[in-house]
This record gives sequence, C-alpha cells and structure tokens, in this order.
Amino acid sequence: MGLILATAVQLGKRSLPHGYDLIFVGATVIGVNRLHFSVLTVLIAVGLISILWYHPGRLKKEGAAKNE
Amino acid sequence: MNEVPALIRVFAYLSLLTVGGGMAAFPELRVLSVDVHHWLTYPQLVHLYSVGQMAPGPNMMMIVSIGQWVGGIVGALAVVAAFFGPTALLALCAGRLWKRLEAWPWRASIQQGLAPVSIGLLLAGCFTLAKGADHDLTTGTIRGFDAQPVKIREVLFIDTEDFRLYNNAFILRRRIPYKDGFPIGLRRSSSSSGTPICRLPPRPMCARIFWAANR
Repeated sequence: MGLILATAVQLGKRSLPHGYDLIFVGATVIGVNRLHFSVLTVLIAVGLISILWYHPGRLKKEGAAKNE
Repeated sequence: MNEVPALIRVFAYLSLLTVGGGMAAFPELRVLSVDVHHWLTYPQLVHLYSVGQMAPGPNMMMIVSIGQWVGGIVGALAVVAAFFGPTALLALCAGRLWKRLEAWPWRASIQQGLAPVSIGLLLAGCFTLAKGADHDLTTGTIRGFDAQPVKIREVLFIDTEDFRLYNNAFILRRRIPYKDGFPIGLRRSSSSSGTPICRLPPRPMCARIFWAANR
C-alpha cells in the first residue's frame, strides 16, 4: 500500500500541474470507493468531463499566458 | 475448467480498465472476483496482491494465481492471455494512431484530461486494498489474518455427481467422505452401550466439511 501511495504521489507531482486537477482525482476516488460506481463508469464520466475541461481553447490560453 | 470462459471474460474486461496501471482495475477486480463470481474471499485477494508485490515482475502477475486457483493451469494461462492480450493490442493500435494525430488539437486535451483520472483510479485501488489490509489506525502495519481468532464451523454439504462440490466451492479445505453414515478412514466413536454417537443418515455422496472462517 505504501508503495502504491508513493507511486501515486510521485506521478501526481509530475502530471498534475494545476490545483483543480485534484477535483478530478477526488471525484474518481469518491465515485469508485464511496459511491461504488463501476470503474468503467467513473473512467468514462470523469474522464470525459476532465477532457472537456482541458479543451484545446483552454490549453491555448494557458500556453499563451505562460509565454507572456 | 468450466470457469475458464468466465475468467477470460472478466480479465479481458479488467485489462481495458487498467488506465494508469494495473492497480486501477483493482476495485473492479474485487467486485467481480469476490462479490460476483465468489472465486475467492477478499482477504485472499489481498494476500495474493501482496504476493504479487513481493515477487519480481509486474505486480498484477498475481492474477495468474487467481486463474490457477479457479481453473488450474489452463485457467492461469487463460487469465494471462485475457489480461495482457487486449491491452497489448490496444496499446499497439493507440500508439500508431497517436503518432498520426500529432497535429490534432484534442490530443493534448486527452493527455492532460486523463492524467488526473488515472491518478484517481490508482488511489481508488489503493483505498480498496487498504480496506482489506489495514485493520486499525494504530498499527500502521498489516496485522496477519491469522492473528484474528478463527472460529471453526462445521458445515454439512450434500454433493451430487453433477455439481462436484469439491471442485466448485473454493471454501472447502478438507473433505471427509462418509460410508454408511461414518467417515471413511476414521475410527467410529461409540457410547458405552455400543451404539455409535452422532450417527448420520447414510448418504453415499455426503461430505462433512470443516470450514475455518474469520467471521
């Protein structure tokens, strides 16, 4: 368990640059562990919302803001 | 052997859920193998996962043990093929497609969007495992299941030639065949009057099982 947690934290540090990414992480955990939805349902639902959140327009804006 | 198609179905489905690593599929593995198909108990699943972690190689190789447990060698081989085959094919196809879609604006969105979900699934798997492995907050270590008081229950199952109880039920540890109401190979206990105690009605396919349960 410790190993998995360490892996999750390391991966999270690298691949989750924004604070609001934690909302998607939390939604996934709650969906699977608390609400007991199937992993497939959570993957599709949260994944879709997350992908739509990071739509190309937002990424462009963020890229432009970084360049400035 | 008759569980092999179910094993293939379940593990092929699970393989498609391993976004962010095999651990992502652990909650679903728990539901399907413990709650739906009753192939093993939750503590057994946690034990097998721990063995998978300790052994060299991918930790999800523990699925081989589940396959072997349920369907013997054939089950183990079927599980490996079902679990790693579809993912390998999908990765191959997705890898090729991903290169072609380099200029597609949604490519970065999918990459960025799936990252928190995969971390969330990893954590969800971790919490599912924790529910079975950690018994209290004070220990911080895993207390062995053997440390719990084990209650011995005696359960009488009536087997039939069609059902083959011993091959189908995973909880069975020991089977004592009976003949004329007495266990074969064991001494008959008798009272002072010479009549046997606890004589069971003669059932040719009757089996008495000692079931050690933690509940």
